[in-house]
Amino acid sequence: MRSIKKRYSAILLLLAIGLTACGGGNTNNASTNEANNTPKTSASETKEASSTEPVTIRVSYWAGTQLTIDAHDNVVKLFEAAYPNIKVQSEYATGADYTDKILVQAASKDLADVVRVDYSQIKNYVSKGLLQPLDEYVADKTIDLEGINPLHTDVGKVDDKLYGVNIGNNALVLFYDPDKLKEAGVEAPAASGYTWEQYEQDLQTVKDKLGIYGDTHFGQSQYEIWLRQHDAKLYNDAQDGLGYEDDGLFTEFFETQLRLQKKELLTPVAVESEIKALEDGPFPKGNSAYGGWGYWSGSHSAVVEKQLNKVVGFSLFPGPGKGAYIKPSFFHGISSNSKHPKEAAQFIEFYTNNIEAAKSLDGYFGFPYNPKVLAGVESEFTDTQKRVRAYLDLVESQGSPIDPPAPAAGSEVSTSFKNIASEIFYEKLTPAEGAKRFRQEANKALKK
Amino acid sequence: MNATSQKRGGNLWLSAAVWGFAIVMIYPLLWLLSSSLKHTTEVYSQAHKLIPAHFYWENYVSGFKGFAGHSFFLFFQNSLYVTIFSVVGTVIASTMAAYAFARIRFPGSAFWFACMMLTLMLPSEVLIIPQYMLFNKLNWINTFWPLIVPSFAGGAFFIFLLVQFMRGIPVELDESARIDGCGRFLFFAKIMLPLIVPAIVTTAVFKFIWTWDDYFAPLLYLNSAEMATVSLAIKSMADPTMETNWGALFAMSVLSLVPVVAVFIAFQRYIVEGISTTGLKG
Amino acid sequence: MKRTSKQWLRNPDMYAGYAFIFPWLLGLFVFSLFPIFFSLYLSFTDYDILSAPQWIGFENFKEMFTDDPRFVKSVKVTLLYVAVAVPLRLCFALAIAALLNMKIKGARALRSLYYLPTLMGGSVAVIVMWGQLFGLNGAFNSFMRSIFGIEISISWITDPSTALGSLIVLSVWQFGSAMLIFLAGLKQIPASLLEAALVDGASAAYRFRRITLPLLSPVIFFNLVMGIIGGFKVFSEGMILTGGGPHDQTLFYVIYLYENSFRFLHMGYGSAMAWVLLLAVSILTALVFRSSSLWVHYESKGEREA
Repeated sequence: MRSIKKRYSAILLLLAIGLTACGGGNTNNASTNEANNTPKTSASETKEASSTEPVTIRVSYWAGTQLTIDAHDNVVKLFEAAYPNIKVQSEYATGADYTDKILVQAASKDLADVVRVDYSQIKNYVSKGLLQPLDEYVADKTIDLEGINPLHTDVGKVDDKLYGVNIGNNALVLFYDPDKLKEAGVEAPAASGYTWEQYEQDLQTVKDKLGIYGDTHFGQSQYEIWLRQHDAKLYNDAQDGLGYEDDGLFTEFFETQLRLQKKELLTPVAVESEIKALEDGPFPKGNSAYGGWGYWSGSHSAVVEKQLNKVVGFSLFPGPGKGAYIKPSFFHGISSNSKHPKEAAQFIEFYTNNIEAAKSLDGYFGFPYNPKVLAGVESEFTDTQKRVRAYLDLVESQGSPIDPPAPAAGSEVSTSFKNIASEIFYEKLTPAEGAKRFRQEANKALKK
Repeated sequence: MNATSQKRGGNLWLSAAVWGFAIVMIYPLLWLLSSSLKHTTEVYSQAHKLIPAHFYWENYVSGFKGFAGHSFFLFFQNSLYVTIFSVVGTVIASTMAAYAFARIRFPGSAFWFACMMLTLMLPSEVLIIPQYMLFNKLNWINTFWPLIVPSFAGGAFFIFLLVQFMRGIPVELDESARIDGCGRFLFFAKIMLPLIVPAIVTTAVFKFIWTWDDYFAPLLYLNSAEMATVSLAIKSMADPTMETNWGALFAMSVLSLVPVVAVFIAFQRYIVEGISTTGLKG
Repeated sequence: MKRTSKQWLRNPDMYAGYAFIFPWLLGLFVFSLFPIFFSLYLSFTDYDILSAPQWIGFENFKEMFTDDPRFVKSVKVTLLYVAVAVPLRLCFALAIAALLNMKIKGARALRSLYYLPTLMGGSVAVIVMWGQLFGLNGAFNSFMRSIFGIEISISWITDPSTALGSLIVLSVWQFGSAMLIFLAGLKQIPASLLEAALVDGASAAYRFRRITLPLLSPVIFFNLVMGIIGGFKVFSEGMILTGGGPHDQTLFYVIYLYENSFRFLHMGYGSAMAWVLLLAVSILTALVFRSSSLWVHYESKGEREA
């Protein structure tokens, strides 16, 4: 018994040391916070010296394939050739790894000079003081946004200041397989006025004629489109609660899905749960006629067409076109701990507006929106890219502006949504119960 | 006569079962090999086929090419560098500490042992941020130091493992050694170390494999492409939300297994044949 | 037997002891102490990683135990996993190690084959491969169909009712490390002892129970303790294969901890969870250590079980 006591007195001692160390931890943080504020003043000092002195800037970006890394690397080489005094050190990671890495760096005030930030996070990053405003670089044309429809750049504004430069445009798309529709005698979805009833009917026809599944189940991104079709939003303006009062919206969305599931018009949840990669879904494998899984027009179109080895059709989701929206694929921002914001801005300008860079990127991270760049690269568009462009034009003409970025608690809300959707599809929960629970869980997370 | 043949029959069944089960165990490896030879569009659409339609050796070429102008040759070098130093550090520090905990009665021994066990119990996820802050303060980001230097403090898992093995060595040995005038350090180096070779090799093999496979620490601490280790580089080839060259990815996964398997096969006999040949009681 | 501090100083073992643990101790102070206490501090704060932590006292702990159904769920899932997977893996590893220790043809090759799954760790290949084995059209379901004519349309890893069970099977399947440690331990048992028993006419079962098991007990103890600690900290398998889903059926404690810390940006809450886990596991481990004097047989009498 004595040894246990000994061990626990040891633990207690450790705890005691820990508590005294807390004071230290606190002051530590205060000092790093101050350090965080200084770059803003030193920014103006470094600016004059920037053009001659050799400078290394760090650029972190989202990438997880040889293809993307090489495309980015090409742009860096072109940039370094154009600005011989600037060296670029690139860092990359993908998916959750990227988020983890950025968070860890942010906690140590060690973010790269140029950071790639997703639309869903920009507001949170800005409110925590991690990014610096870019307006002065736009004003002095270091970043030249002239001639660009403000629709494409205003999305990077928080409280009327620009914090992120849109890398390229993207939109959710409902793919369809023209051959399969033709075989089933189903008409391709109309550019406008394609209704949910028509969609359901078409899925049924496809199943009756070809004996294959119509589509996959819909999730949160399609639900948000559905809400937008009903002039509602997922979050309210204050972002401390859901943005719609009528739980009937939730119930109807999932009742439709359940009905399709029961008629076996959708691939079984079990099949969908086994999808491991973009190339692995029922649509790219040729097992369903429609691909509404949550594909983005940008990088996904080429993959799907390559996998199916055919031209696919692009359609808006069923329902009123106003549900559709254009999303910036990513933003480039400059971290507030950057010591070389001017050079960082020069890199952003090059990445966004240089025609050779755009050619090298090939629309991979989203579609270019600067008319000058578009004019420069147009001649080299692949057929897929031409279809993507036509689709983005359709979204722009029929859709409505994107909803404000999600609040910090957004990922908690998404987890709740995902879990509830799963329980509904496994029929452990009715849509009405799900609606109630989602409201309760989401509001709790948002109020925190 | 009857008894022995019965026994032989039993052994036959046993052998068959053990070998049959072994096939189940290596199924994933066979699958990995086969996927590394499939065209990238076939990896998922033909996933159930163990023998590819065509042998697509190009995967190995396009994978080995790497990215950002750095081939896998460099990544292998980086991995070897990090792994070898980590193994050396871990083995030295762990055997030393284990010897103290197992054999020396010194004040505070129980306290420090308890501390060591506690460090094993805290989920490392909550240590990521302060650890990064620390290495950032030391200016060690984008160097191999954060991956190597902590190994020279040993590892709690290995220290505990070695303690357990050392405590299996009869204590009379210490006493007779002491009578012979053998000091602690000499006893440690000349008698204890040879006796626990299996445990030391186990430590080295585990540390090698775990360091080789680890991608999270390299992900956090290594920024530039030319610093990437093999596991990090492979991770940089797969993005479930983008177009991925799966064939090349699996090809490089196969290659990355080669050193690990080689080390295991080369050293396993030391694990299982160490002491029984030396003969303790002799 | 109380010693005074002076006697301590004169004790040569003290210098030897600290000399031998010096590298480890230095590492503890330089690399671990700050992160550990920082996380302890964070557990009493509201910390979103991006801005400075705010002291909130015991709020995190209060929320955990009174107002967080997912926390409760994660505790249940993890306890179930530990209770089933840890003993199963231990027995399996010991059985295989004992088998491979026998004079079977090609034992060396077999050892490598059995260790291979462990070598492959948690790579992408393993995820896809498990899909191939236990997916809807996987090898297992096809096997059942062709041999027994049973139609199964369950995706074992992703179905809510079977997901946790599948993860347990996976963890048992990766028994290689424990097996290797057992093998090393078995080889340390002097062959002369077993031969002597054989001469005395003892049966194989008797020899295993009366000679092998007691002599192997320090290593069994090690694998048990590490199995328990590792079991409570289980993360990668679940994260890679199920991500905690479907709807939290495999929400292991550390997955939820990670989700809170890095996805929801409640790092303070995550840290609090880590310390609750540490407390629980250390109590359990202390009990196992206590029990060791009853069943662990040491050749040397160290201090630990005193």
